[in-house]
Amino acid sequence: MSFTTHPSVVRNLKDGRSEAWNRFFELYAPLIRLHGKDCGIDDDSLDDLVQNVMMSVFHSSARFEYDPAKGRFRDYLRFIIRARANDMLRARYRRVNPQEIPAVEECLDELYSAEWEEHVRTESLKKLKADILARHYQIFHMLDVQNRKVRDVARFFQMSEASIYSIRNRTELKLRRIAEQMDV
Amino acid sequence: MPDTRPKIPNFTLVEECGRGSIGSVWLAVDPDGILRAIRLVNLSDPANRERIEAEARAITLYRNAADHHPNLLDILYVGRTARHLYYVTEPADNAAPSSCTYRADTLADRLERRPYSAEETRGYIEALLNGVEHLHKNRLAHRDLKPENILFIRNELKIADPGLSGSIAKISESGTEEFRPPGRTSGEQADFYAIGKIIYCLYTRRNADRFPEIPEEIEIRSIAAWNEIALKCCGDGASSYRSIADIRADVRKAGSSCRWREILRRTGQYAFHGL
Repeated sequence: MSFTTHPSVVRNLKDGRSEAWNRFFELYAPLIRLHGKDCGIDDDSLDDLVQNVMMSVFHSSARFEYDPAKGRFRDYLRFIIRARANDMLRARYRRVNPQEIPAVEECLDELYSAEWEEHVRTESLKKLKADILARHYQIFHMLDVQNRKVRDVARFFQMSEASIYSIRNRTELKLRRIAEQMDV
Repeated sequence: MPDTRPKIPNFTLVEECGRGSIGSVWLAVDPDGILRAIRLVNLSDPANRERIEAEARAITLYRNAADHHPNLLDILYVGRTARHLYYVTEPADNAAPSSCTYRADTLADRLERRPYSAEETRGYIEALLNGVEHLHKNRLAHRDLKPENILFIRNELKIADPGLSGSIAKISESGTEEFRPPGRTSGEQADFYAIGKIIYCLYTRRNADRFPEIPEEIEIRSIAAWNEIALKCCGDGASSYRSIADIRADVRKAGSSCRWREILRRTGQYAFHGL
């Protein structure tokens, strides 16, 4: 699996290549759906929301220049998801009763933040899995995710405990670096 | 209602039992009343022409190489109509609980629905290695080994679906994503990699896309030898095995050292029997 940091995914969209779109969809559709639900979009309309967000990103990608000093990518994406979700809700409530649109902006920020953290964690692990030796991933997974004992894992791989610790430390460092790259 | 079943000379198509991107598999009856399986490849879509011709070549190569090997699906007849390329084989055993319905007995089906013993596991792997080794000796790689393409006929394991078969030396990246090594590799390496993933599926009962994660409920010492084989087949994307004989030697060692009772004792879902 090829890996790209978030801003580069959007930059690649400028070229209009289908791989860039597929990558964007693969990376962000779950997050868009999750936050769309928080915003009050019903399950049947989540696909429309993903499409609307992707269209907005497509239209803004021509002007997109990532500058961390001006703002974070996560906030840029949050803004677009929220704006498109609000458009859809407005259209729906206009048909029913214009006074019923809930004021949800503030309490959604906290939810989005947690969802973003989870997104970074999941994608970082995927990237780690693709980048390192399967044996090293197993060691990391058994120790850090499953909390198995170092002694048992060392026996399993017929390696010394010192080697297991060393692989674990290197893997954790790598994971931290990946997460830092993703969390922009 | 008009009969929409495809027409194949000399066969009566009974029931569709599988469907892929360019074709389908049907149960059919021949003129002697014998049940057969027919794989149909749709010729009507011009976009698939190249793929169809490649599949036709692969089937011919596989058919010649298979030569009644007990672990390779025998292709009894290959033909064409205006609409289809097709080949006729024996049908897989019926895995459905009732004889009124049919569900092909495949390794995928057994992984999902059936308990199997350590002895059976080793038997599956040895049979798989025998079939692949025979292909490799004929300079042919399967290139699409996966549990769905492994059938049981009279309870004997048969490697099926040879549509991507080609020279063992040919470099390409064809095959099913979860069972295909990253990047472009030779057919031989691709088969080693897929065998590693199948072994992983067998000892973890997880889908190949979870590789290399070991399920939390497994007592790891009991599967160390199998895990080592799977890692050697596909751990870093390039197999460290040079031949099927090397894999077989490790499988035999793993089979004798494996402590399956611990799996049985610790986890309900690993209902191995006969121990």
